Amino acid sequence: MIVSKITTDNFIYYDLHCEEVVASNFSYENIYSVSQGIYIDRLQTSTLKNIIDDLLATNPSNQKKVILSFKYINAIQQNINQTLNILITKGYKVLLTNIQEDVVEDLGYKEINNKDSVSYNKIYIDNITKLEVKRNIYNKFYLFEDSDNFIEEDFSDKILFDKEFKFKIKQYIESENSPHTSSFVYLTSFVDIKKFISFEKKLILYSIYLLAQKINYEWKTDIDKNPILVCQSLNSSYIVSILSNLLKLDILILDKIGPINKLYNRLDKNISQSRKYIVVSDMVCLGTEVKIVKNLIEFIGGKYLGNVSLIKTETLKKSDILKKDATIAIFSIDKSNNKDLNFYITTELEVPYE
Amino acid sequence: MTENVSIIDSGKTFTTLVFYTEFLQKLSVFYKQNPFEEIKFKLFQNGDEDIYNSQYRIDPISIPLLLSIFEQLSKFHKKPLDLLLYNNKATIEALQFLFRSGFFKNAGNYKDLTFSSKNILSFDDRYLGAFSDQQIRKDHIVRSYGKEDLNFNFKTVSYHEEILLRDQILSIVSYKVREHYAELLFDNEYTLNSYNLYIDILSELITNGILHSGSTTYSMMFVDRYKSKFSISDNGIGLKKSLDNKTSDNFYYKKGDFRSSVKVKSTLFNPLFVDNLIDIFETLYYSSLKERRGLFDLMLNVVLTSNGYFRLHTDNCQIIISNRIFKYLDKLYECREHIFESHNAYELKRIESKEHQEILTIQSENIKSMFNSLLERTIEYYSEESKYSAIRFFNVKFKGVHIEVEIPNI
Repeated sequence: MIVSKITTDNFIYYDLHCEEVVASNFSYENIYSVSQGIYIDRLQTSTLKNIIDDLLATNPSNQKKVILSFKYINAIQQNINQTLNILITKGYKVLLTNIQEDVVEDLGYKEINNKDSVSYNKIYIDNITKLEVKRNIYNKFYLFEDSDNFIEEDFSDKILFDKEFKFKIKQYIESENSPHTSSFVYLTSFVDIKKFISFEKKLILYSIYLLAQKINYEWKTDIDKNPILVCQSLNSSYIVSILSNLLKLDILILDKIGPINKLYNRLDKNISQSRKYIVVSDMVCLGTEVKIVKNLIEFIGGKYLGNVSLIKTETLKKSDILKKDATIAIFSIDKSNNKDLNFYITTELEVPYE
Repeated sequence: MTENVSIIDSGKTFTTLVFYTEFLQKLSVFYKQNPFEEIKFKLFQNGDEDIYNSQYRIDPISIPLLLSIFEQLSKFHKKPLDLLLYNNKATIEALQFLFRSGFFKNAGNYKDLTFSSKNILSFDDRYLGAFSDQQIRKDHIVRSYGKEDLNFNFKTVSYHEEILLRDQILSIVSYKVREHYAELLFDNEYTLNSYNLYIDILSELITNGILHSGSTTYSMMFVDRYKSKFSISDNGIGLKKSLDNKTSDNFYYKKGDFRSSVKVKSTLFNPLFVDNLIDIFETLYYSSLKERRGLFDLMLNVVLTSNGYFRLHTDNCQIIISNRIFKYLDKLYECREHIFESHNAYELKRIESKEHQEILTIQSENIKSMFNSLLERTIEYYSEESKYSAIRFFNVKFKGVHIEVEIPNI
């Protein structure tokens, strides 16, 4: 299953590390293996072949421009270039992004000169030794030499993903003026996350993968001490179960904190004083549920690290939020897009000005 | 009543060399004397006798070799081979190590959801107990890889080209290799620094075994304070036949290219051995010309990047590649890189076919002549002193491909 494919008018984009993670964690061949979650850093030929098969099979507009993102790929299976060469010989124009110089060398593409392929130095934390290593990275590495470099100067994976996510989520936002479930405000529309998860399985999996990367980055020192992922609703339990697989973390289910707020469990049995907790939500609107869970955890004595979510709304300016309370999300509904998404929060009070 | 053949003799560590020189010899003697008998083994020479004077030790990386030969023999006898166990003061440490390393689990007849034994030995597992609390490292266990051990249906998937199938299997095996050996590779600075290379080496060798041997490939890696070592052993068709099976229509290699260039004078030992040796060189020669990285590259890398030893055994002959022949390796490496780059450039249409062919002709001649002088030197040297030579010949033939790698621990 290919999850990270994004098709635009200009090119087709694949995230190789995400595909590698999905293949190594969820494919039939590996069901009995101990997978490494997002910590796998080696690209296998079988994964690349899946992508190329997908590209050759489903490409109705005959788009010949392809971007392959090598972010987080530190090594490759030997002879993998033979698989990649298939694309080149079929006349595809391939751009590799975020690729390490060593990997380019291993692929045997070092001789390909394109004036727009420029490398820079970046400091990495090595996955195994946890030491800092300096590596040469190519932001863009073109596998052709003419100057038809098909992407904008300021291309970024993040902007591309945001656009795609916004386009997809729009279809699941329905207008209705209802009170917010746990805070005293009105929402002009309802984001049907259940439907979104059910119908956009691939995009959701890709999003959860990106969220896992964010968690790993944000809490890089705490992640080794096995913090626990807390889910507080049905939707978030789906997300948590995948995240725990990708990050190799334990989970805690506190159901029914959300629309229907009711506590079933004896919390002191489930929350341990010596552990750290990350709260996972599907969508954080005003953050009331997150605060409830945070208080529960801290009341019992556990340590609250922070909260993450697929989607968040930014109702305040960034500078007005404490770092600890900020939600880490892969998509934000903020003033730049809420109009377009037809998503508003209102109250009965008079607005200061029209 | 014939006597049982003992495996580990008292006072002598059962190393891979002991396996080739003495254990195989014992087997050969047995079959010569009792051609119609079923062979029976005892794990320890003195059994329950002479307990206070006996000592048994086994080098972990000889376990794959043992399993390989047992698999061959049990196929020959069409039943699991009988093995007598002893559990006493003298044997318990070695027995415990074999038990914890998974030797009995692999060879016996156990099954669960994710693992099934090979059922090549029959023994009384009531002897496997009363061990001390001392655990061995969880990664120090012997692994077996066969077609049936992969969740991959070789029948339903149609792979037109062998290469595609190979890459697919290699990918699956790489995941397993990562899972099985990564922790051990991280424990040695050499292997840590090029751990991706070692994943390639292990996967490549195990995949070779799975695809070509038609039998199980056994492997074990062991790390101690002084070195990391691993061995991989299959009992399949061997190098020569798998090379013969390849349908090569390359302009740069014709079958027997290397053999026809060899001019070895008569030697003091069995011509069969030299023949065997030439087969190994033929395989390495072909591997050094290919557009894909393979055995030859891995072998050079072990020595050049990690200062290690690479030993390859098939039939009667073992070659040992180490820094002792550095000046050859360095030059071979250079030629090989030329060839590889040329292949790549040609594939990406950066050079013309004519130029590509010229480069390959020159470099393959270079490699051929270097191999030839290496062959001559090793044979010459061997005739005088076998201990430090780069080749070893063994009287008893043991089929399949058996590889040992040793890397010092800095």
